[in-house]
Amino acid sequence: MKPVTEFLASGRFFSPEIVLIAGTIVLLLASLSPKLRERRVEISVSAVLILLIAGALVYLNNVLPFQAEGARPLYLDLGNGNKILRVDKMGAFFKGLFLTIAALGVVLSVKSKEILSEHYAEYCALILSVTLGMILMATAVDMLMVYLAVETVSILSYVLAGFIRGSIRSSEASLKYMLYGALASGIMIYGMSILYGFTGTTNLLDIKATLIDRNLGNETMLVLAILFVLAGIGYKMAAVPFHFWCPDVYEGAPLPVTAFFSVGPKAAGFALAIRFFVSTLTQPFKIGGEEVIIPNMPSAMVVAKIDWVSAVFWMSILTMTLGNLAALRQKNAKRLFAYSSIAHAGYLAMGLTTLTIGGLESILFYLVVYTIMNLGAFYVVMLVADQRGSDDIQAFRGLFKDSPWIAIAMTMFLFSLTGIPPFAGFAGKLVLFGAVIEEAGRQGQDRLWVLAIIGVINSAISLFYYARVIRVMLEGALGEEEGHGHAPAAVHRPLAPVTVSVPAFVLLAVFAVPTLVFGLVFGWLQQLAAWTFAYAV
Amino acid sequence: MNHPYLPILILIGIAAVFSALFVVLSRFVGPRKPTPAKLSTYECGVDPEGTARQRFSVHFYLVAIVFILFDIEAIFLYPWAVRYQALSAKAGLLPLIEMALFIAILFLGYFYIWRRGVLDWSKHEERRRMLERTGLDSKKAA
Repeated sequence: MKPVTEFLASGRFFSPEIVLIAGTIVLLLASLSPKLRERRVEISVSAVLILLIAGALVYLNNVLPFQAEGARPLYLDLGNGNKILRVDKMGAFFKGLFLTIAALGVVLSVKSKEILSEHYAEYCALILSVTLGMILMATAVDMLMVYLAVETVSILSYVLAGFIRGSIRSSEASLKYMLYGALASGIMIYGMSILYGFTGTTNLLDIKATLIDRNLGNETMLVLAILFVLAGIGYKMAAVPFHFWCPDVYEGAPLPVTAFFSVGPKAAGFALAIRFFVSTLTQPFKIGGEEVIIPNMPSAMVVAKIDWVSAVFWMSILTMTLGNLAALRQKNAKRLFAYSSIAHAGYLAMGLTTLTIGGLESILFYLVVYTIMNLGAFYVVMLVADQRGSDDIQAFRGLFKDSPWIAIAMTMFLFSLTGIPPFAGFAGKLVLFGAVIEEAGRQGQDRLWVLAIIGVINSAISLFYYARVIRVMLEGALGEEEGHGHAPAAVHRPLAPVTVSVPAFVLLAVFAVPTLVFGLVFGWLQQLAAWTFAYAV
Repeated sequence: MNHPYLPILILIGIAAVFSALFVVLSRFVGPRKPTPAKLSTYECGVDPEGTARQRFSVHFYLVAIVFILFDIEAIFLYPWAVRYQALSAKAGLLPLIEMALFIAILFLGYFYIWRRGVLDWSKHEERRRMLERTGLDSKKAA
């Protein structure tokens, strides 16, 4: 056993998580006081402050130590050499991303009418602990820790989905999420138990070493185990065919929670996918004893000939096609964005199939861009739904005339989600498709062309339903002669104008400005993503 | 036929045959003299009262969950206590501090549920009596 001092010193790398745990406890205690718990602004300011402190600690203890020349990833163990968490640049990137998502999620919900004031402190505490779970998902290297982290995120998500007390839709969302989640995590842990049976260890690094040593090629049970784990991860990403919960949960959950779900757990799912599939089941080159994934890998070398790449390849195609086709028919804005987020999971999964450093970088890049534009779109839906009392697409009618600022911001988010220049979504898709096409040119990777072409076709399909929302917003704004052609439009009862308060306007700008700026200046984001995977070679 | 799991399959087969056999045997061989007492639902030897299919107070489930939580967390004390001497020989006071932290967090949870009124029976009892008075209680209606 290590000396106590060394054990405690390693806690330094865990300090952001400790701050989150302490913050959760503080907010839960605050929820006990009837006076404290209803002060929404103060509670959310302290929650954001806790997240900022955690973010500063990520920078100090998880980023700075790795800036040095020749710095290597560290492992946190329980004092007995059993590695459970990995401290590295990728972990730091995801920690930063999750803390940002959580902070935006808290800010989004300050004015939400769906979250009652008497439960607001508990809501913030739940968001903090989900964030902790997501961070653990992105850093765990032991299957037990992976499972624990996934369950932490899942169980708290069930509570958040059912947060509108007395609402049947919200309770239904919570129950459906729980039933589906229980099944998915059950399948995942079954797959993990088979993996353990094959390798005799729960540690992902040891599993990799054992699989390479014993060269277990084409064992049916092993392939099945990997597919089972993929089911658990795919459920978190909301990828087809594990997506059934997604539209119902998004529709029933309170809007700020839906916004949080559509980016947070999805990003955590991709972090876990990179850890599990790329770090564990892909055999990189060894340079100077240090295992690194290096750019321009000649062809993917997959551990023990387990062809998980094909599974992800088909999952990606199915996910984006089905997500986009189903989104075409949606009448409810929340369901529309649920299917749109499924489609985006498909685009993101393309990055995994390339097995290059460029592909992984493009996933990180796209996740950042997607977070901003998707949260922005959900914020607009929330503003409209809170003031017009409906989250149907028809509630957006005439938004250009009534509140042009919201309509302009929404148009930006929708164009960005489609991938139209000069918005951030275009930069994201450019990098993502670029990585796929670059790898497709290589020998033996011809099927990536199929992936890229299907991806482009899907982007075109997505324009159709995103543009439909814009068309609804334009109704009544283009002068009277336009209106005469569409007689039914006049039958609708007039909708209340949507007003934007100053804080709401600022928050809208927080989403809208990066949506534009990241589309024009994205070199630094590419560098950040490149830094994440660049280890000392 | 030398598969390592073959004995288990054989055991499963034997178990299935035997359990089916005894069910069938008692059906045909055993005497059947039913009395009302024999046919009634067994409820720990007490005469059953009313139907079992009625609505439970959600409070019941809440208390059950809280019980399971504390029950399971208390079990963590046992391995710790058994290994304590070996642990403290290596790491000094650290195991004690760790367990103190664990129990402190446990008590924070206890404090939380206590203040949220989970353990407050009288409030629920009052509500139940009120429902009974107004005749809205489903149990009385049945």
